[in-house]
Amino acid sequence: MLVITRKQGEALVIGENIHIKVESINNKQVKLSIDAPKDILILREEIVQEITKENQAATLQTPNAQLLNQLANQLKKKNKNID
Amino acid sequence: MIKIASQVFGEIEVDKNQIITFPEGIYGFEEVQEYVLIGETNEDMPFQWLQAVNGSVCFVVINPICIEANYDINVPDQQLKIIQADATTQFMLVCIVVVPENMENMTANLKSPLVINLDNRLGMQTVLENVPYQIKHPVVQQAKG
Repeated sequence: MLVITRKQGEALVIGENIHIKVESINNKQVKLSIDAPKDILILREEIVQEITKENQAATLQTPNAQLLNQLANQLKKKNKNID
Repeated sequence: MIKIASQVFGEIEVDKNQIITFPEGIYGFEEVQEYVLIGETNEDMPFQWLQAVNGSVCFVVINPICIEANYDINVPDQQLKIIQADATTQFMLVCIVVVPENMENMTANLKSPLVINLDNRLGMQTVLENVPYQIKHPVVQQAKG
């Protein structure tokens, strides 16, 4: 784990072609610019955490071979009500 | 044919060419790389199971178009490199469903669909930016009025 201090205007290079620069610092926020190959997905960490949590929540159901039928019935029920 | 110990179906046999490979897994399950889709979809059944070949997990998935008819998304080509896709590739999109105690409140992650390249059976989970779709997108639309 590398912990490093940068001033406004300074940058880091990760690997061969990822550049991160501190564009501005004010009060509680740091603005960063990131230059990376387009096939590298850059996401806010909290989004990744939320998606991870959601994927994990999806596995907690009691496995039940009838579940898909039960879920499909929920949709049919709702459609009936709308019609 | 290979055998899978499924939590849902017990021991099942599937053809090796049904296997979908996720080179980087999905968020939270990066080490699980092989899955099979179980179940046929039709007008009355938009759900399928996405079963891990190693038997560790099994997800309920749904075609997002069944929830949002206009689900028209644009994943940048470069992000699809991991599934070796290009402009001519045939894709399949499915979204992972979370089923709470009250089934009526089930949600699907329309913001991070699973993209499957039908030509080579490689898959990935992508994250869409600037779309009106949610991580907890309601599946059962609430009737208006």
